[in-house]
Amino acid sequence: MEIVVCIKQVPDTTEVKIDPVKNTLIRDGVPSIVNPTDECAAEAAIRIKEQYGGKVTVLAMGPPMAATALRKCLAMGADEAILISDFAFAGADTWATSYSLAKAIEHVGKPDLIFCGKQAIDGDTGQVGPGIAEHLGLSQTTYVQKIREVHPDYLVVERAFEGGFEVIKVKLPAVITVDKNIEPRYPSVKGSIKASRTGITTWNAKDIKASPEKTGLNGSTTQVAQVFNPEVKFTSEMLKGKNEEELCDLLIGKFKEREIL
Amino acid sequence: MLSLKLIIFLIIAILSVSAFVYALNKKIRILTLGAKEDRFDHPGERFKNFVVNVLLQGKLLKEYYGVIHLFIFWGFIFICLGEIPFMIEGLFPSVHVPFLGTNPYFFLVKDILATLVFIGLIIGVIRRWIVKPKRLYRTPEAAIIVILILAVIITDWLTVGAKVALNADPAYSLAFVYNLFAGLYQGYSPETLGAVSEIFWWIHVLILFGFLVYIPNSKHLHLLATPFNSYFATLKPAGTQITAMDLEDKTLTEYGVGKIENFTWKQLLDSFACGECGRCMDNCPANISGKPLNPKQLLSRTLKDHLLEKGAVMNRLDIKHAEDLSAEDLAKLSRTDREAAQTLRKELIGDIFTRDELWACTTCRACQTNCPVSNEHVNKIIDMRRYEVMNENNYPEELQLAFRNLESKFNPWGISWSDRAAWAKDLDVKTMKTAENPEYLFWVGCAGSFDNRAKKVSAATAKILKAAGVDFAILGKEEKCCGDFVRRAGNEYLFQLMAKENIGILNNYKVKKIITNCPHCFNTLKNEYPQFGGNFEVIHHTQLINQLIKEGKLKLNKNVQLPEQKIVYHDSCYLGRYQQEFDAPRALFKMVPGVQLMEMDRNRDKSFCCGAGGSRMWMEENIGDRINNLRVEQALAKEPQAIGANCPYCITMLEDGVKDKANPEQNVLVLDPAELIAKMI
Amino acid sequence: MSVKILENLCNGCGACVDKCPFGAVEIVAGIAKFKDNCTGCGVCGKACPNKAIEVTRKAKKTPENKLDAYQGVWVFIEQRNGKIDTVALELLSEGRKLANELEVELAGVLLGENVGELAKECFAYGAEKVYLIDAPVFKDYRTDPYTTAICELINSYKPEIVLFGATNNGRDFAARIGVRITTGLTADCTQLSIDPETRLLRQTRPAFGGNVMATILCQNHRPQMATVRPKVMKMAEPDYTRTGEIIRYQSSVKEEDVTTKIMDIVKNLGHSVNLQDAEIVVSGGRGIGGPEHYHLIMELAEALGGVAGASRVAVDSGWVPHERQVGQTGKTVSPKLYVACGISGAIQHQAGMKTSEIIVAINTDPEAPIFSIATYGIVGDLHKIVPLLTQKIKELKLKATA
Repeated sequence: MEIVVCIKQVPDTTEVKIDPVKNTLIRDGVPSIVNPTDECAAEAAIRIKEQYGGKVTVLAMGPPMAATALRKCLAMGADEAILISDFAFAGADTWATSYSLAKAIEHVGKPDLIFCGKQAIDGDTGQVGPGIAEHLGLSQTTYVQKIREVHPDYLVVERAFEGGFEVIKVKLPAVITVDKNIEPRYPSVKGSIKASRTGITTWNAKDIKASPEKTGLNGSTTQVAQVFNPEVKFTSEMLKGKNEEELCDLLIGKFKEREIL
Repeated sequence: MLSLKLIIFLIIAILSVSAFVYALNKKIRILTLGAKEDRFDHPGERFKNFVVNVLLQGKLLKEYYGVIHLFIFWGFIFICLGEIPFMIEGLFPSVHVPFLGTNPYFFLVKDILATLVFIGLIIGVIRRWIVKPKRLYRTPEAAIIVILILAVIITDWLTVGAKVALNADPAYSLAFVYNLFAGLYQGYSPETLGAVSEIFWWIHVLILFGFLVYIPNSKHLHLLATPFNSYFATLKPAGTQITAMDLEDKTLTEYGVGKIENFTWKQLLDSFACGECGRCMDNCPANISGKPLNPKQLLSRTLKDHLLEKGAVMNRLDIKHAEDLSAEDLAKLSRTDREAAQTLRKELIGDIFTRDELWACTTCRACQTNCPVSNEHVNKIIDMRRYEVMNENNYPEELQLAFRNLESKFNPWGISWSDRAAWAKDLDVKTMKTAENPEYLFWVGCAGSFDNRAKKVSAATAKILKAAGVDFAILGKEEKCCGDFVRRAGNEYLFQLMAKENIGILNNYKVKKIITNCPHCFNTLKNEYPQFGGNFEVIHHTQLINQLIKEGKLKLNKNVQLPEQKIVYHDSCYLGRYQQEFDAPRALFKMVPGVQLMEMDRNRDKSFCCGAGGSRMWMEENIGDRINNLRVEQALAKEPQAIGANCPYCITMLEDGVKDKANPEQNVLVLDPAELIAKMI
Repeated sequence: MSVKILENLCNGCGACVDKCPFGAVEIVAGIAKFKDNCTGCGVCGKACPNKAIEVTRKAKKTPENKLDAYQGVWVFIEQRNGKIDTVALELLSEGRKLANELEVELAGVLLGENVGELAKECFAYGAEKVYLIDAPVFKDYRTDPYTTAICELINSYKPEIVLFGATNNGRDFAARIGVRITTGLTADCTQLSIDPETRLLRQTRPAFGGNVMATILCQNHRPQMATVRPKVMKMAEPDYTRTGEIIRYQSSVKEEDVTTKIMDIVKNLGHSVNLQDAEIVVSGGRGIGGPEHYHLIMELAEALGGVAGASRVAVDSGWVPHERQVGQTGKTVSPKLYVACGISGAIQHQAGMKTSEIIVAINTDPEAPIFSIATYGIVGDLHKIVPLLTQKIKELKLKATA
């Protein structure tokens, strides 16, 4: 089975802090990681390859340093890595991103399966997976928590919804986005060393025959009007009360405020 | 008559010497199967080690009954020397070997030593078979050797005693035991004496040749292997012994050691040198706490048995490396010689060692430091862990989390990377970014940066440094885990990643001198980073504080009111055994008013690990007792108010143990000396 | 929007570098330079004290009249088994406000099989119209038929705003619709408003894990589409006297064209018993004092609808089985609420739970490190507080169901 996994290199958002004085984002030195659910996508693909054979190609769009993220997936067991990198892609929203990735996939060939993570932690939109499917005219199943059966023509998967899951049979080729339930492996050291020696194919907008009108800022359907910092999230509060009774009531009050009760 | 005796003697001698050479040759050929390693450099230094540790028995004398071995060793040499006149005169009565056969002082010394060997052996027998310490095995091998040596000595005495009774040779005039035995023969006729002497001479000769054949075929190979093992012992300081793997080497297909022949010849020689004295067992925290790891059983006996078995098959079939055989070859071999094929297939981990054994080691180095024959235990463990982690991707699950955290957050807990300098927020400590070429870098370490308890030691250290006017700065967010635990977990790849990143940053700031609270960081920065181009002068905070006080830069207020307290001191492995720094922390505790410093029964080189080293900090401890609890029990036996320590790992482990084992009302504290010194400013 | 550095004005002060939410500006040789990941958001332009960054808005403009053809606010009415998802009602309430401001109609878009009755509820929450697509192929939500049907509807009736609940289904097909009809979609909005000048929908949403808020516009395409998370918008009081117009629409979707098939729908029964998946975790440590008191922790967990965990000490002492251990060498949890009872919170424990959203610590020792990461701390004896808390929560829940 030919599988393409789309991944994104993202800043580790748990490490992005606000400078309390300047009220700006401190991004200095924030490590870049493979978007967590994209690792799950790579895992799903590699598991299928290991069981049924085939080839896993990982694909990312981004600056040259995104190669690090691709290498991580190679270390996990992917066979080939492709980076699409071009100034023309800069400033893309989800529409333009999914277009560019779709063009790159077309350039790879006709994969049977395309895996994506359910959403990226820096944007949290979850729109690129369905976008790719639409650009390529393929079926899609999103929020997949488990792959039950793999057949040459179809997949049976569990798709999560609020309060349960559906068992879905989806015809191939299709785009599948997965959630964190497909737990990614920690790459073996051997795999990491091998990946560090593997070359990464880089394509630009021309290579993938992407229309300049549909990529980057030009192809974006939305614009950022304003960016500002939200109020500080973390507060630490010691609850004070005369007795246990009062303390419990105070805490229950907090629970109600935070919609736990 | 004479010629027949000579002929019989020669036949026996040739046969036994051949058997000896044959057996020895077999062992040497097996050693050559091992991987290459250069241990022929610095002959002078090596010879010195040989003199100190073999001729003078330096390492053995660290324990008082080591004296017995000293007697046996030198007695044995003199007995062997005495065999020359004994044999020659037995064959050619008229010949007198110059000096050895004529000097009465030689026989005096030999007699004294033989007597001491005799007494020593008796004491040894009593210890082994009556006192029965756990570390000594009561094997037939041990019994045979004692009987053989005793028989050699007694038959010598009986033979020469009869000779002396027959004809008082002036050479024996001072040999009191010979004369004593001669006295026993009083009243025997010369013919009887001649016959007795002849009979015991033959018995002695037969025993001696039997002994010769027995040595290379038993654990007593120790006699032959140890002098070489001591000569070839590593010359590297304790902290620098882990070898750096060349991960750029594309020809390297197997990482670490998974098959016995991948150990170096010196590592294999270790198993021949082991005399099974059990000092390693006696000091091994894993073994004592009931883990399956028994350094003596594992690294000598089990390893040697496997080596001899597999080595014999490999040499018989002329195989240099078991991997050279394809699966097909093995299958073919299996049809003709099933047993050989099975032996060749054996892997170290799984077939010879269990994983529980492999992962129980804390790399505390107690075994290696106390090993009298200079065996090198820790590297074997690390080599095998490397195989499991890097080659087989098979290791305790908990470690994976620590590895992942290290990769993404640069500390094993996975605490936010950007909070690394949060401990110093209100202390006005400069970072390298803002400071201008400070004299010292204060390397805080992961525990000192994130662990609430260790943060207090970091703060105390910073306070002291400031009070003494030391020009220092920290790296803050730019500091990453030094990699100590990943290297000891066998993940050399991740270790080198961390090391190279840190060295890049340190060299970029042109750091020369580093202060650190953590003995693990200390060891890694000082001893392991030079392998990757990071050369720094590293000093433990307890050492620097002593220095500052001595130089008068740090003035202490001796009138400060501190509680009267008994503090029992715990040596950390990585400051103690690894750096041989035992005194600096002790000296600091002694400066504190009201402190009465006490020693544990296991201290200094025999100190008992807290249980966190060798990556054990990041693993569950499910088998046997918890090592930290045992250590705390040893400390509590001294009824202290506090336990003194010098390492953040130790502090964590000991505090955990105190919570488990001490009466909470006693409120036993675990303290770093810097915390007390900081109160005297 | 696009940005440009006016090199003669730039003095390399770096104010733009500090302000850029994407880290996409750097100072090269004393002059600001945009990196590849610049999104052209224009934040730097406002930050620049020297006016050295030129921000051009509306670089490309679609003829006004083309966009003006789009009118009205739509809300997708998600339903499952004939029951409307509450997020749809919240969106109707919010949509009502937007429609009032724009002085246009609010419509619900309802798909399903035999769901016509639900239109009444849409009217009650403020809709004036309901577009109803009722056919067996729409019985359960599936991407293909829903996408196609709604695209047909949009192309026929041209709304200017379409809102979807940010449920798994809403997010699944809204993205696909956006691509098919080439328009913008903003995910997980927390605030929606109308720019009085341009009549554009200002869509505000968190990004970078909630570290920044961004306001997004869709200037050149219609409809402007957004998804909104459940419970973000306030639900209005329904008025069941209100009525409206139902427009039945016949979609071209045929069952045989659909490439996915739902084989089974499994609903989660009760709450999760798995620590790692639990929304609420209550853990006990050394402070619980012995195995005989662990039931206090279990009972609080049950009352809160969560799962009981433990610290390493409690596990090592044999009070609690190992599978309940939270921490470095146990399980890593990230619940909405973590209650630590009698746990000092050594770093080994923190490593397993520090990402919890709300942390409550109950401990007798006011110096316990757990308080440094707790959202709410209580210094006190868990043996008194925990059972009391359990009882009060139970009473509260009883009252709520009664």
